[in-house]
Amino acid sequence: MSSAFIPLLLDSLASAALIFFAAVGLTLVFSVLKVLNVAHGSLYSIGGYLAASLSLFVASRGLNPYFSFVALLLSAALVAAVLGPLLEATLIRWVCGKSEAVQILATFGLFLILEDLQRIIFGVQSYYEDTPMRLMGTTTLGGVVYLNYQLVLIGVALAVIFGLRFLIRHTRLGRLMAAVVADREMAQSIGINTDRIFLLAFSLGVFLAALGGALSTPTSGIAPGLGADTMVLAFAVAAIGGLGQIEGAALASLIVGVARVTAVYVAPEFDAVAPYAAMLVVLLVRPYGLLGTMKIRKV
Amino acid sequence: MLSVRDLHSYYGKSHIVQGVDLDIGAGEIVSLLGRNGAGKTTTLKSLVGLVSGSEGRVELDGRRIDGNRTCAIARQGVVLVPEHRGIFAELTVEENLAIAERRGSGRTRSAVYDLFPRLAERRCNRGDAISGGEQQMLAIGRAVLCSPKVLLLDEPTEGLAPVIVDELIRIVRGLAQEGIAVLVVEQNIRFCEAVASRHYILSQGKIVFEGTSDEFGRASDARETYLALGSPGKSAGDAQTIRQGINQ
Repeated sequence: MSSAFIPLLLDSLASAALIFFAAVGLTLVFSVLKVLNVAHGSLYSIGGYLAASLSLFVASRGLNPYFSFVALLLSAALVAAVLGPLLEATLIRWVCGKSEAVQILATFGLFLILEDLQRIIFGVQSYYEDTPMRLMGTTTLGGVVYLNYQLVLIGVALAVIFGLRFLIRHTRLGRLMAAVVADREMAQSIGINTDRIFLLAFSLGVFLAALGGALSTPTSGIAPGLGADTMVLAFAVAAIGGLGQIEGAALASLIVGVARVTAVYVAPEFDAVAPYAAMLVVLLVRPYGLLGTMKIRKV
Repeated sequence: MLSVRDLHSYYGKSHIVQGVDLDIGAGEIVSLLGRNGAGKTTTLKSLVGLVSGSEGRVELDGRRIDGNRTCAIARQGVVLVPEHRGIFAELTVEENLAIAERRGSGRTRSAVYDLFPRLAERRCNRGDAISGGEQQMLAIGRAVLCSPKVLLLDEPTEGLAPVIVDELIRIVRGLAQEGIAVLVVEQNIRFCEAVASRHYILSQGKIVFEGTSDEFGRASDARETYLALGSPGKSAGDAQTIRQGINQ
């Protein structure tokens, strides 16, 4: 039992880390802009496609393989820098303040557009490029072999959790975001450019999603449909954690990760259902999610 | 300094502000009086671009600011302190001030703490863990950090103890002496008479009286009709009491 426990835990944490990247951006964007972005999962898969393409480019040119790590980060930054401002200044700003039905329909339209654009640009074949994972090697513990890359994923997720907490509680941008969330008119009345705060928060959300997608490619590759799968998982996490809570998103990602990986170990045929079974149980007990308030920070 | 011509504001089909003209000079304190629902708050909000359905000409030092975004108007120097004070409850006193502070503006947090020593004592308290008077001081202090040329105060004395109102009178006069123009919307006539040198009365979205304090004191008809006050002598006497209280 114990020999199976540690791999299960590690796989769960690594799976939770990737889910967290997708969900935390969704939750950040919702808490600051009050927009539920159904197309968020597509930003995850676009990050993945771009990272895989750049990594393959690095490999095909015979460049130093360690450049593939740069490729992962660079692709997330590129997606955030280009699509963040582009989408925020057009569709997202337009749906801001409109009813949830309009937000969901409009961003679902955006999701369809982004999915087709990915098929046009990257084709329908799957990409698999695991150079970063191979470069990191393995660690053997108690006779079980672990991928060091998985440990890095967990580390990066922890860094994102603490980084975001620091950003929100201890930086000027975090205070400005809290002010805009609490009272947008008042924030404007003291000269805060709320459009700029929205743009930064949305782009940060895009960056986190694209980073998740980029980091996932060495482990699982990427194929059409990833955007939709990710979106549904991210919504399950948001529902479990309570929308608008970064800590809630972390906890919920862990629950979903554990549920999925346990299902894979114990009863693989329930792999796809496990996250939603977990969601059902949590929502029966706590209908607003585990940490269900609409606040992004408490002093 | 601030000149408003033919301001109209609408909420849906309701025509709330109907052609208001206002002028406020540098260092001048002007009051805008009127009953509930007369359009006073809507007038202030329209000046800073918070009412989407509003039209008219608003000039600051001869430059048009109407049509600008609220944050741009605030940065140009017209800053609103709303009736509800708008303190960010989840931020501390210090953080509430910090987000309004701008480098190179000449206005600093420490200057605000000098102006309001009580805020310095409360600097680590959350915005919702301070008294109503402290919240009002925080709201004014935060507005001062925006380097205002014109300060719009909406019901600043509402819910405050008389001793705090006295302090507010001192502070508002001090800000005007620095050259800041102040437009104050109030139900508290005594406060207005104590600080303002000119008064406007708004009724059903229109300016129905405009005059100096002396003219306002003599205009008992206008006061009776539009503000439904007791005898002018009584409130003038109250204002006198406040002035004496400050001098002591």
